[in-house]
Parts: sequence; structure tokens; C-alpha cells
Amino acid sequence: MAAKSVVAKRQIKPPLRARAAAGARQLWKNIRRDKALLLIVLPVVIHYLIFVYYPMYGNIIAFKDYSPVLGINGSEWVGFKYFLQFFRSPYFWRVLRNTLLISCYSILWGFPIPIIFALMTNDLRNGIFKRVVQAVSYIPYFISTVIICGMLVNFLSPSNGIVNTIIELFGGKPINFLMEPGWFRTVFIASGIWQGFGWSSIIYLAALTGINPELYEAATMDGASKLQQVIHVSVPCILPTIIVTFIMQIGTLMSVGYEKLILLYNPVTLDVADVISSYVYRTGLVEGNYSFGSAVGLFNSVINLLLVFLANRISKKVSEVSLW
Amino acid sequence: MKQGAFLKRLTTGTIAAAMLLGLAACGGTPEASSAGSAGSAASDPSAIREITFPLEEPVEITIATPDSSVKSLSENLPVWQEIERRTNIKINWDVTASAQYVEVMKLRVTAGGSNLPDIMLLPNGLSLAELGAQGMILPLEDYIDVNGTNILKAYEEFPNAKALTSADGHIYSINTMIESAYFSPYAFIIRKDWLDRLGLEAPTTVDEWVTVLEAFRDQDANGDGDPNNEIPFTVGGHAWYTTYWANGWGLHLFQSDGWYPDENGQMQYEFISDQAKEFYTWLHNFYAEGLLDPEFLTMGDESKMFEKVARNNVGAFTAYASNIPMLEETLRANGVEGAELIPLVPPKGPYAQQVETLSDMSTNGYVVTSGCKNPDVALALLDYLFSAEGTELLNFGIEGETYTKADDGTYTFTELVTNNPEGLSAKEVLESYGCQVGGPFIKSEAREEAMLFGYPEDFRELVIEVSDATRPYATPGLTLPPATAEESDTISGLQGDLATYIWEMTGKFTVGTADVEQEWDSFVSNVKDLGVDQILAVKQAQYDRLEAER
Repeated sequence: MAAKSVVAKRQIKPPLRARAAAGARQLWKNIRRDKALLLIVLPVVIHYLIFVYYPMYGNIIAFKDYSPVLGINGSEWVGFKYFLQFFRSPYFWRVLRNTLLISCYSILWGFPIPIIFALMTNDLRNGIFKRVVQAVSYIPYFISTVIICGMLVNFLSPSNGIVNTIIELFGGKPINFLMEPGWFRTVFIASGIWQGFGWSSIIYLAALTGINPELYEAATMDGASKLQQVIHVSVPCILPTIIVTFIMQIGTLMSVGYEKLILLYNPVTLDVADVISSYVYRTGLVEGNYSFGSAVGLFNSVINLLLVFLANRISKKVSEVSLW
Repeated sequence: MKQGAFLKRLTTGTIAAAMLLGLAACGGTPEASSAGSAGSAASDPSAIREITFPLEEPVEITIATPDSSVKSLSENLPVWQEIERRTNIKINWDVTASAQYVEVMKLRVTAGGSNLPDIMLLPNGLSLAELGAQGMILPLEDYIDVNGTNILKAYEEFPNAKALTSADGHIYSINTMIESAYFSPYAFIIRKDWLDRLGLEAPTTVDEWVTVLEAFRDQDANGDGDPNNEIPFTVGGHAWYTTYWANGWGLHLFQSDGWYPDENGQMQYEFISDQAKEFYTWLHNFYAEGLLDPEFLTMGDESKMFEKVARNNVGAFTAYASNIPMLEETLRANGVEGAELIPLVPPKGPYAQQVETLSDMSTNGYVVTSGCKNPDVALALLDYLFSAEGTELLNFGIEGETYTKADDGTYTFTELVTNNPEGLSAKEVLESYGCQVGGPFIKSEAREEAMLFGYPEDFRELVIEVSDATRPYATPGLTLPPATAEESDTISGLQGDLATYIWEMTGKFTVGTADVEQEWDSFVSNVKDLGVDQILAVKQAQYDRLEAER
């Protein structure tokens, strides 16, 4: 409606001031009309302004030799010193490789599972059973990381962990999972999928409920089997949602959270477990090199942003679905 | 201990991350008070008033310190009330939970020092030299000359103290002095009843230890009928703990992190010495032979290890002997009859019989910030804490309530402490009174002895006996005076990468994912690449300063 009225006014071409006044009136009218919606979105906007946009200003310490007494503005500019320090660090390639590997594997294995799970639960006929399955699947999401890691350490213990007890029951040899570099990523990623798939499937379930039931009815009329219905109706209908979430996931490729890693890694698995964020945690936060930490963080964010642009562009070309 | 507990690691990380956002968000606040004010305060020593307690007019002093986990200092704990009464100083507590103190305070200082308290515990990782040069903290020597008789006395008793709290020729901090550093040190602890069951003697050399642990591994030492469920030896969850054994190779890896002078006063990095290579070879065998718990790196922290000990599967480990009664009790509660743990004198290794103990001084001390309006009173208060009165209050609490003093000067805790009606441990009761929290103090050996009250007479004797027997072998870990601003600048970022590498390789050498023989040369050259020579140059300068002050 708003667009229409602007077009209408343009045709008469009233003086600029009048146009501005009319625009303001229109805006005010829209605000009054949508005040409930605006109120709902307000906390999010405030959150973003305070915790996401304002702190961006602090990013300039990445280019400064940050000193507490001189403050952010007063500290000396050092240009790309800290970026170079990171690129030249003996650990640069290792943490970059591990970050990308863990991210890629997480997406590779972790991305399809919620979709499959959503498609499966969507076709459950028994309402109570469906709700129980859903609830059980997303409860792990609410368990804190510390507890998840404590559980992992206990379950995977070679001396009395349940997993090794089962392995021994079938005549296998106990595996010291957390001390085997070869097992680390598997344990890390599998537990992440277990914890998150139920939660991530919610968005797909929502998209599935939005599908017009007539489509299924028509498909049934045409003699489509259950599986064919899923492939030819459900999947194409939720494809835009899938692509959008995928693009968003690509945007987190360079950020693997350090919390779970620092709780699970140890010297023997550091080779495969040390990622950019855990490295920043140690050198930036624990040792107090804030400028260095900011530089690495900024580098990460820039790469992530570029990746989102790239994924978005590819998606636009290939499937005509995109974020913007 | 070194890496911090499992849970703590996460919470501090999260809080620090949250604070970092806050830090960035506070960036707009005006810059800290002028950097030049440092010199002016102390430029005229004659202007410093002589302080006598109690003050005529009450003065307010704000102290930032890690809070007690038992009862918050902000609740006016009796010991500190008494100190306030005797000095007529009103103390405002600016406390942070101890697990978060370092991260939070570091960020507060870093975010700009305009709102800093009068006195604060310097958070680990900030340098006295840097803060002093920037004028955020005050040089204290002039104030000490006027009002610091007790501090001066402590300097005589603890010869390194002055050098270790100075930078650029100024004394900047007052640290807790640990008179009891050698009492009941961190030790090897072994199951005496397992030894008896297998008819073995307590080991006195590293080789004897191996023999004993092999017996634990092969035989049914815990007497449950299964010879395969014994873990001969375990440690608390970080590769660092295994370096306790390196004492026997004459290395100082455990407390000094390998930075130690040789007999000519030249600083060395002992992790890359020939002895270290021999030690790592031995350690790998120790692991490969199944004597070291295969979970030694994944247990998280010491409490996990204690849980394991309490399950009656562990033959020996390293810990403070003070944990023994608690462990024996849990073992009994778990239905293990006759469980007996004993601390042992450090074994004789191939190169040495020694044990590195903690330094006799806390790493970080209390500093007076430049925003302090009454630095003379602040220093006098710190000095009071070191006085005989202060020492008594901060170690034993309130006379008549928490302790009584015999004519011969021996202290005895009251029933309130020894058998608390609310079920608190003695340490907790004393802490809830304000003992050994809130400021620097002299940690008295008399208190440690009095603390053994609850133990059976024979355990008390055992601890005192082992402490005495260990003392000839004890060498305190090397603590160096603070680095200067230029020094810390030249090695900034190097030590973290080096530490990561060292612990990674220690773990790998032990487990065998890296072969000591094959990879030793590349290990040494990597350590060199990580800048060990630059760090050594700085350590040498620091060590020379320490020697000069002695």
C-alpha cells in the first residue's frame, strides 16, 4: 500500500517539502497501524544495536597496540601487525585447516539429518507419538555444553565407559576415544549432531506445515506413492528454506565455537582439534593479547561474510533462491 | 591446578568473552587518569604522613579481591570487622568470584583505569612494570620507609620478596608470604594396604617405584579377586602433572616451567636438555608398560582423579597429603576395609633426589592504584596485615571464638572450627570469619600445624615426619622478578605458543604418537623457532636482577 501511494504522489509531483511531509505522515500512519509488530521486533533491534553493532567500533583495536591506560582511541596505530602475527604464527595453517575440516564435515553430515528427520516426523500419523518423538529429539539441545562434555568423557572412558563396555561385550578391544586423534572429529561432530538435529529440524517442520494439502491430494490422485510425494511435493516446497539455512551455515564456516573444544581436547588430540577460536581463546583472552584476539576475530568475520556473499550469488544463479 | 578445572575453564572463557563485548562497548569512556601522576605522589617523601592506628578520623579504602567462596567479604566478616575497628579504616569491598577474578579484573584494568579501587590484587597476566610506567599503580617504597615496618621485617625473612615485587627500581606490590611453603608439600601418595597385601616395601627410588607399580599392575593388589582392574599410577588430567617425575632427573619442569639457571647462573630451558630427553624416554616406557593411567589426559581435573582413587582402583598418585583423610574416608564409605594412604619422601632418580615446591610467595600481590586518595593509609593498612596482630587475625580468626592460645604460644582451634555445628570444614569456618582472604598476609606454619587437629594422632605425626624428611630435598620453584615493559614487549605472544607446543609434545612423547628418539631433534629446533632464545634473554635479565637484589 505504501508503495502504491508514493507512486501516486510522484505522478502529481508536489513540491519537495510537501512530499516529505506526506511521507512522514504516511510513516507515522504505518507505525500506528503496525505498533504491535514493531513492539515485538524492538527488543531484537535493541539487542543488535547494543551487542552487535556498537561493539563493532571496538574492532579498531585490531589495528592498534591496545594499551589499557591510553584507551581505545588513544592507543597507537600498528596497522596490520597483529594480522601478520597471526598469519606467520606456526599454528596458522593447523588451526585454519582444522576449522575448515570440522566445519565442512559438520555441514556435510549434520546438514541433511534435520531435513530427513523433519520429513520423517511430518508423515507420522499418530499425534501423540509424533510430539513425543519431537520433544525427545530436541531435549539434548537444552543440555549445557559442560554437561554434554562430562557425559562424553564418562561414556567414552576406556576403563568404565558404557560405549567401551558394549564394545568389550562383543569381544572388541576398548578404544581410548578421546586420546585418539583419529576419533576426535567423529566424536565431536557426531555429538554435535545428536545435540542439535531435533532443534534444527523445527524450521523445516514449520515449512512443511505450510505446504498446501491440495498438492498432496492431487499427487495421490495421480497415483504418487508416499515416497514420490515426499520427493516431488515436500522437498521442492521446502527447498527455499533449505537453501536459506544452507547459506546461513556457510556463513559460519570459519567459526567453530571453542567452548566444547577446550573441554574435549588434550595435548594428544591438539593436532586435529585446535581451531581458530580455541587458539584465540588461549592467546587472546587467557594471555590478554586483546588486539591480537580482535585481529583474528575480524579476519574470521570478513571471511565468513565473503562466503555468505559467494554462497548467495551461486544460489541465485543456480536456483533463483537467495537471501537478498 | 595449572590448566584450571574442567568447569572453570568454560565459565571463565564465557565470562571473559562476555566481558570482551562489554569492554568494546565501554570504549567510549574517557581515558584513564593522567599518566604522569605516578611520580608526583611519591616525589616528596617528606610529605608522607606517619600513620598510627587507630586513625583519628575514619578513612575509606576500597579493596578489589577475589571473594571467598564460603561467605562473601561484603558481609563484613568478623576478622575484617576487627581490623576495621582496630585501624578505624572503613573498607569497601569490591569483590569478584575467585574463579572469574583474573579475567574480570584484567578487563576492568584494560578497559581504562578510571574506576579502579584503591587497593587491588593484581590479576595474573598484567605486568607491574607496564602498569607502573603508565602510572596506573603507585611506587610504594617511600610509603614503606615511613609506614612499613612489618613489611620491611618480612623482606628480611623472605629474601626474594623485594626483588620479586619490584620493577624499574620501584616496589609496586605487597604479596602474600608463605611461611608454610615446605610444610606438607605436594607429594607422591601410595596405598599402604596394597603394599602390605603384596608384601612390598615403600619405594625410595624411581626404579623401586617402577617395580612396585608393576606389581600393582600384575597382581590383585586391591584384593577383589580380579588382578586386572588396578590402575598402578594416575595423575590429575594435564600433561603437566607427569613432569612431577622429572624431579628425579634434576629437572625443574614442575614449578619453574623449565626456566632454571645452571650452576653458572645461566638461564636454561630445561625442556630441551639431554636429561629431558632421557626423562621423556622413561615416561613413554612408563605409559607403554601400562603403569600410567591411560585416561591421564582426559580426566579434566584433580577431583576426577580423587573420584577414581575412591573407587579403589588406583595404587598411587600425586597430591597434597592433606587430601589423604578425605580420601580414606570416602574409600571406607565405599566399603573398602583398611584402606591406608601414605605420602612418601621424593624418590631418588637417575640424576637427583629433589622436589620442587611452591614458591614461598604468592605470584601476584596487592597494588595501590593511582586513583587512591590516601595512599599512605592504604600502605599502612597493608603493613598492618603483616603485623603480629594482623598475622594472628588472618590465620587464626578471633581469639576465644575460633581459637585459644596457650601460654607457650601454641594455637588450638575451638570446637566451632574443629567440629562445626553446621558441618563446615575447619578451613571453611575460618574463611567465613575472613581468615586468609581479602588481602596479603603471612601464611603461618603454626596454622598448618594447628589445622591437623582433626587427624588421628598417628597421621599428624606422619605428615610432620614426612614434611621434615622431605625438607632436605625441597627446592622452591624459581620465581623471577617482573619483566620490564620493553622486555614483555619483545616476548609478547611467544610464551603462549611455546607452552602449547611443550604440553602437546609432552603428551605425544608420553603416549607415543611422537617418538622421542626420532623426533627429538625436530622438537628442539621447533622450540628454537618458537623464540626460546628471545625468552631466555629476558629471563636472564630478570634473573640477574633477582641476584642483584639478593
